[in-house]
Amino acid sequence: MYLTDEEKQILDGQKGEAPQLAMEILKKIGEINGAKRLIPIKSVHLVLHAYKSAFDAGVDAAEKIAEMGGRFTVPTTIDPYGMDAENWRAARTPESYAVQQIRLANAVMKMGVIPVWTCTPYYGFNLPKFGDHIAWSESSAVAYANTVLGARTNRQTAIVDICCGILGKTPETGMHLKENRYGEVLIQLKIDREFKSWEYSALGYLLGKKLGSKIGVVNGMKGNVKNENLKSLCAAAAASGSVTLLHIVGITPEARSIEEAFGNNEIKEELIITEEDLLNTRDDMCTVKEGKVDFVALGCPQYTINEIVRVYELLNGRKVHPETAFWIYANSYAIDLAEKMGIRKKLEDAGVVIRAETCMIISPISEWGFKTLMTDSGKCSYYGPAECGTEIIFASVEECVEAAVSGRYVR
Amino acid sequence: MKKIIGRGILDGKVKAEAIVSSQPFGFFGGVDPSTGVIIDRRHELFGQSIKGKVFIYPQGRGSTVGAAIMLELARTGCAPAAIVNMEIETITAAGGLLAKKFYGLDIPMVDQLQEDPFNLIKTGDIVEVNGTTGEIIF
Repeated sequence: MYLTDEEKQILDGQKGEAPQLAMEILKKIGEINGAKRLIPIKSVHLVLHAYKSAFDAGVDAAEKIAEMGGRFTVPTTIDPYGMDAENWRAARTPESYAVQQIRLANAVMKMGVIPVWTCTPYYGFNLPKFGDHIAWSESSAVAYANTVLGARTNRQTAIVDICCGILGKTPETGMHLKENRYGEVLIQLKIDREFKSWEYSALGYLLGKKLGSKIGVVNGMKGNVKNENLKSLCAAAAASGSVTLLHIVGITPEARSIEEAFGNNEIKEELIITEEDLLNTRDDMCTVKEGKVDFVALGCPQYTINEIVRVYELLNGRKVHPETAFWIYANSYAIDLAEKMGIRKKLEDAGVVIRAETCMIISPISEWGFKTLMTDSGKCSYYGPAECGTEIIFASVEECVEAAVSGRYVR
Repeated sequence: MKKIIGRGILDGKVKAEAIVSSQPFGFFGGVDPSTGVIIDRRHELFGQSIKGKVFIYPQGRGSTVGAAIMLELARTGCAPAAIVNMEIETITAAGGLLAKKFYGLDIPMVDQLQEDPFNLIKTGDIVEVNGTTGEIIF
């Protein structure tokens, strides 16, 4: 891989220890992926954010890089906090966990991270535009940035993303090159109506399974598709598979037509998806079909203000069942708006808990002893059994709210 | 004895028992880094350990935090001895590279094999992996 004179000096250690380590790592990663050079990036989004997924090794590595003088040279945001940022004690976070989470936060803050603590940085804090080169981790945000915004990023990974932030550069491989962004598999939706909100998550989950890391071109999506629908779809696809970019014809900036999405690629593979496929996928996403629900968890990716308002409307003055916990995870931006709108107070009076700047997957919840988690999130359905230690019921937000009120879910 | 040639990604040479799956694998939500046991209930290797083994699977998937899990496996001594993929993901390669940088541990990695290993190597077979030359001997 070609290095400029300045990059060679960094590699030789002339600009300090942390840039040298960052350059060593990016050079090796670039070489593995056949990069010819490093390119400048507009922003970075980190996933070394929660003690639950960083573990002691991640905390130690972050502290070490910070002590070596690691400082971000481009705007660098970060994934959700590893516990409720407003009140971790009330969330029954073990003290030993909190100590490590705070160490991790201090280390990345020392490096200059912008503490957005969200998996949806594109909602206001870190919004790339079409064609921008960025280096993001957080698989759901990567898929969203490529698919919806037309920005260019590979799936960066923990610590490599820190290296990108320190150098303000990333290897020019994969999604950064237009020739690698064309479609490989045509997906024909045979559903002649607007999707229901849960169907976007199910479609994402199914596409992740079917595509792995291939680039799908989704044709036939009808109606008024909201940003939140695309957020759910991208998150599920990036969890059950390694989806980095989907071309959704008519939505993705590079996919105004099937032809544009495929470029010079031949259409070698075609998948047809029907309503029945989505219903079957919904069954696959659940570990139990129905029964008592002691935990309804929404906000993976974190809920937007629109989604919080929707829950408020669905509750319609009713109270949450006394034996069911109903938690909504959101970032500080959405929470602030919910407070200004007076909705947070009303939701809390009804028994809903707003968990700040974290999520069910990357904060410890085992102290609560929940048995069955019900969610509208495809991503949470995927990770829930291993990371929350619960059974999973995937359903629509409407069904989730009804179950929170009755304490049960019956199909 | 048979040899398959692939692309050496990360240096090192080990000989160990193989654990083989034809399903993609993600480290986050996939393995408990304090034991090396697979915790993904939807994976065919659920309940089995990758600790000290040559882990052979087609490709990575899922969460990008995977490299941190690999780093923790290196810290706890529960990392796989080597990884063989059809096509390696940056997340997997980065995990091995970080294990070397922070804990001095070699996890040789090989991908782009000239022959499909899934019909040739079974779980329990003793396999030698050379991450420098890209040779897999069994």
